[in-house]
Amino acid sequence: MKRLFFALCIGFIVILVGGGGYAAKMMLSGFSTRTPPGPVETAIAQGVRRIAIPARYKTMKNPVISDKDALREGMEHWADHCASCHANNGSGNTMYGNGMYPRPPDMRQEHTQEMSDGELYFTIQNGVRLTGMPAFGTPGDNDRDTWKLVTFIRHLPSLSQNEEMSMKAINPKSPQEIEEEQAEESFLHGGSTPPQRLSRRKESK
Amino acid sequence: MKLRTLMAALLLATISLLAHAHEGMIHVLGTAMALTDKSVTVKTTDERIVQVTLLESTTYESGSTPLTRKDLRVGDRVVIHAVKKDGGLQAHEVRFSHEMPASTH
Repeated sequence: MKRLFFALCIGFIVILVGGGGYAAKMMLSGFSTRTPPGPVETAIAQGVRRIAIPARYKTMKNPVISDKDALREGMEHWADHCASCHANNGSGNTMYGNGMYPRPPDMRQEHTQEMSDGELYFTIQNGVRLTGMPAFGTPGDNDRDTWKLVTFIRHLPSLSQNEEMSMKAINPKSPQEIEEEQAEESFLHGGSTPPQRLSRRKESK
Repeated sequence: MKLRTLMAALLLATISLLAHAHEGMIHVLGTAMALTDKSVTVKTTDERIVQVTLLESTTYESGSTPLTRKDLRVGDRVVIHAVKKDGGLQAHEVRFSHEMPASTH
């Protein structure tokens, strides 16, 4: 009994000192999103996320037949709604993605690709707490557009450069960004020289 | 009071906050003056000399055609979208054409 009490005390002190040290570090450096989460925090968050997906979703298969039309629709949907954070190619290398805490994962990699269809579907529909990933679905619906996104996510590792280029035309742009693009294209084709731009433009690579 | 502050700090330490980045891309427009496998030196339209690092992830295109680093030549007009990192510029995307060099006057 004494040993158990002693072990609990030691555990409590370790947690207190560790937590206090972490809090002190945070207070000194500020709650910035510039640095990515460390390996411990990442492992815990990923573990918790896995546990948080209801069991029935884990075995779900994508009901959408993976044909050209489904892939094209998923791709267009992705370029319009997801690419601002996840990038057209799923790398997450965008202005928004690079500043998030945690960073969006590189969805071409194993960590995402080894998730089941249902886990991907659940994540899109319900979002991920304490990250930048919002819920895009409503409870209980069976959204075929989301399943088409799952189809596209499966395609990400083999996305061609031409497909990526075609997605750029669908990425949402402000009137200012469209104007900028036109000025730059005109410059590239021998037009007059627009001023140097130090713009704060989001990129959906 | 101190205990409350400590508890608030501990609570805050355990949560991650959503935030949006506020840094965008820097657009470098001009003529490619020098090229290596790892960088391109650009004479910009306002007559500055700017070196931009080329990464493996950098994409290249001309018009709507995806190209490679090997297609880029000295003298090409370039529009580079780059990010500031480690005191330099890293190219995210290089668009170019083999048009006449950009006039700087």
